[in-house]
Amino acid sequence: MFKRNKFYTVVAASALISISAMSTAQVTTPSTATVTVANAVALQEDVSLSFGQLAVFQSLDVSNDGSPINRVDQPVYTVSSNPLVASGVTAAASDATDTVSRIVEVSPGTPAEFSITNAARFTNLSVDLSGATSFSVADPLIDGNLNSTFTAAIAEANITIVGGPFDGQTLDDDGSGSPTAPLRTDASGNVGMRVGATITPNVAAAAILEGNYVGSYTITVSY
Amino acid sequence: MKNINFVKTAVAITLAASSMVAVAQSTASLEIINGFAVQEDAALIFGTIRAAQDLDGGTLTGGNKGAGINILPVVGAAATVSEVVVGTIAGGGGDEASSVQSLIDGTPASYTVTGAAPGARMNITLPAEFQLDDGSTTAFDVNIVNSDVIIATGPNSTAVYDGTNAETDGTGSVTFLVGGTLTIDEAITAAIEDGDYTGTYNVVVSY
Repeated sequence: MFKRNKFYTVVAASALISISAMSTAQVTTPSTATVTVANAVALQEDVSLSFGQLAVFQSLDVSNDGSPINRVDQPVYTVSSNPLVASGVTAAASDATDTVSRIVEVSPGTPAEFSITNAARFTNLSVDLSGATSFSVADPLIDGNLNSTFTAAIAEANITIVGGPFDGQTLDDDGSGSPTAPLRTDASGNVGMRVGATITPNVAAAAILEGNYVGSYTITVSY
Repeated sequence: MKNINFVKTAVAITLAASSMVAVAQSTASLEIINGFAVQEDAALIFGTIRAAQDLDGGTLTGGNKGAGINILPVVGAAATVSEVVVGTIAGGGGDEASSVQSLIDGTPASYTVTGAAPGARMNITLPAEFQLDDGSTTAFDVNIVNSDVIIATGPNSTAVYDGTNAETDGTGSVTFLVGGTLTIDEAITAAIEDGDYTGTYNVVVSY
């Protein structure tokens, strides 16, 4: 008798289950997707380029009006970016009167140091030196013709890669050398470079006065 | 309640005595729980990327997309992030290009179903292609397919969702991870501005 009562109850409950199940078996979840675009590469100058302290003597082989003659070749001072290679002077060739301009290193220059961050990992970056291949270095306190006393230049050969798979190698961004050494980022998207340069007194400059000479240049790094 | 039952029982006994047939009606309770919950535990994040597309006068045609990136979830580990190469760019001037690189890897979305029947196979309906924009420019398309979904818990944990295997565990729960593929929209012909791009979509779970 007791079992029969239970049977009736179960039948009634089953009918209720069927009705409810048809109305609540789906859930829609609104969601959000995001991405952040960061195309800009961070290029920071950690240490500025210094040509050190130099003694510079222009040839005094001048004409009657004071314009220089026979300065067909000028000395060049090179700031090395490679720690294994010393900075130094390339002397001017002797001219007809053997009174050539001279540079004497008093204290050596030091290369600039740049760090590149926030780039894609294991990616070659392009280095644009068009704003650094030739720039003036002058004493801003001196006016007139003397205001462009030196010409400085930065080429691939003056740049040593720091970090990444080509650490310690001379930059070869255009693939002209062998083996080539592009500026390639590491696993964190970082790489650096030491930037040396050359500097030479302008042919037209008169005697070089003591002072602090300054110039500016631009290096652009991009994908 | 006890008193009422006693009366009914007494009636039944009386009827049995007269006709040998006893019919009694009683009450019982049952709680019906057909509803279940789906919680988005983590949003789908494609991370930080470098994205560039210059079609140089060309077009991405025939359903081709620009370059992109795919996030494939891995249970208990970082997702696998892979770059998707660009589709064919037709008629470009020679400098056409499209590239995407991951700077900071993204992470998959995570969803947890609770309150369902134990052992139930849940249907997951993924969204159709949707777009991400920065408020002014629609720059990216997102596509999510079954193979971008990995089941994280339950009897089929770590399996790729095949349309039928999102099975709940003994407590009626199952968690699944959702990745996807982001590609540069074919309408982008020049530089993509830096910034955050966002889109919304729905995930529907049923059984």
